[in-house]
Amino acid sequence: MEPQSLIHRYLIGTATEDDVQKLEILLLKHPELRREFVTAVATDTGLRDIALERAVNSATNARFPRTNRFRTWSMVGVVAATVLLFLVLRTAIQPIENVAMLVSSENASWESVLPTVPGSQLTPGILRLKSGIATLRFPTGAEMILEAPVHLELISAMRCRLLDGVALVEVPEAAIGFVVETPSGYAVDYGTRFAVRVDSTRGDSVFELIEGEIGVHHSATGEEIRLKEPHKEVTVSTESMHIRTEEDSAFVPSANTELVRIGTAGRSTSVLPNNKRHKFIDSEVLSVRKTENGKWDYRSFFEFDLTDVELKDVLSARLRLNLVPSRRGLVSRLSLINRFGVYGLTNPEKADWSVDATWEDSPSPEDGVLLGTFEIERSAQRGSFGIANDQLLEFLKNNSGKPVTLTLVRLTTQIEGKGPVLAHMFASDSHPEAVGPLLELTVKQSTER
Amino acid sequence: MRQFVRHEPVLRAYARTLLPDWNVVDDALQEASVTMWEKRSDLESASGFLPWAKVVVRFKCLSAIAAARRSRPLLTDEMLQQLADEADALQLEELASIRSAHSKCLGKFNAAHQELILAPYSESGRVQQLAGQCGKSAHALYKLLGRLRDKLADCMRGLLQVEGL
Repeated sequence: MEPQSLIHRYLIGTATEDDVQKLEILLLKHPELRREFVTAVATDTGLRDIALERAVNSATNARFPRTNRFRTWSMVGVVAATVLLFLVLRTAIQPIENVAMLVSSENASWESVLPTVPGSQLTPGILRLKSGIATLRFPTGAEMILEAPVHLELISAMRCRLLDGVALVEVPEAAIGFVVETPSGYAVDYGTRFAVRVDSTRGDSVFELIEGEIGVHHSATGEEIRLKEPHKEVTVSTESMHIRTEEDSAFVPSANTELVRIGTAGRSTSVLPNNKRHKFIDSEVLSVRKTENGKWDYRSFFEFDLTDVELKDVLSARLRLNLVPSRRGLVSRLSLINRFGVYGLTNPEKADWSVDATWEDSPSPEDGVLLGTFEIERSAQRGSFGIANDQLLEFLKNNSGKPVTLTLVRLTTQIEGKGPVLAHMFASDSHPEAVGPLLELTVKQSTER
Repeated sequence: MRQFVRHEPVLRAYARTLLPDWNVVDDALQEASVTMWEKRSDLESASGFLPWAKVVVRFKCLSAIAAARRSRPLLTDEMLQQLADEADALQLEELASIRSAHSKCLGKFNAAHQELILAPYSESGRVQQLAGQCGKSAHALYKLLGRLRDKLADCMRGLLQVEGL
């Protein structure tokens, strides 16, 4: 038997007494085989890491059947116990371990329990950058530029997890091995600059190499792609991982798919029960509010003209609404999270609404079907919100060749307190800064360019 | 303790050189980390951490070997000491490149073979289980596993030589 095979058998525990004796003699005679043994052990260590990683992943995702639950969980337990032990030891000895420093922020606004003043030392934890740009520097010299909105978890000086958003990572030689995880994969940096974009709604992430070399790993399969050529990209989704060329990049417009944006062309408005439009309706915004007694509710609706849109090749659809600071009501009376519903109008009698319609004549949720909901934290004043799902796509396809109306309402009301509850406001087409409602359609290109 | 987290992969590989299976390795490392914590005042500087930690780990491993010897045949203590000396030279960077080399090499195998290669680390009796699923004997699968590991080792040697290790 080959000496290497003997080593393997020894390490996986299938070697017999006889094998071990043979191995002992060989190792004694050949120093280079001892070296080989150590390398094999290192391999063994690595393989086990991968196996553990997969076990943890599959346990978390529950995507794979587990025949031996106890063993898997006990491994998860070992990992968890080890992590816990490290945490306990770390806190006991070094009360605060700083993993990064916030170097600068440009118009940044945060939502974070970590300090957010430039110069602050950051401990492991979650950072949410709501707007602006921020730069983090890790002790090893790695730098990360975050472009809002970003949701980032700092894990250690050599590891972080981007949960949503875009980041540019620059890693000097001293920080080689710096790892950026995403929900579907992770990149190991080998001295380089790269960009990473995570789309949490689609559940995929894109790594683009700008300079140097990175290894992109797929969590579910353990597959690795090494990027060495600038501007090459790897897209990692939960199921697969593949290289993309510059043409179908996520950072530049795609070649195989095209994004079509449809606006409302001024066909949008809000209504309230007392119908005093001149006093309470502002044409720059679309207002939505729900109150306990319903007297001061607002709802909005808007139309997208699909007459000239070929919906057959549309792969996905997204409704985008831009939140703008409200001028009516108090934030303190909102619940922490506010949910909104988007309804597709199906009642043909209401389809022909006018922009100065009354509460009674205008489309309401009862005139349509619920297509989706989204949530806004009460602290948010700006940002892009909306829905992107199959119900929306199907609704559009069923109504192709004509204008479609969507109705927007707030589903959550108010909490105890004094004063009127806030009305949420989204930009209409006449808003001076923000863009009005948009329907974004990803269309598959029928012909090659 | 940041040092411990940082060097943990090296210490684990080091312990694995001396100990026959992963459960024993995990136990030994856990004990070692507790000892390190208790004796942390002995440590003067961060740079001295790794050699010091290795001494602690080696000590814990040696005391675990005797018990482990009862469950399966092992190399002699003298040989294990020699191998540990060899493993002493192993650096964090080296481990990282070995790790990246083998994940690259692992990617060259099909899904079923990957699963088999990882089977000894996933669940006890996983190899037998796989054998049952594909209707082969466990013995045949272990033989196949041996060949796959040889192939993996070849691939890794190729890669690591390129990197000059």
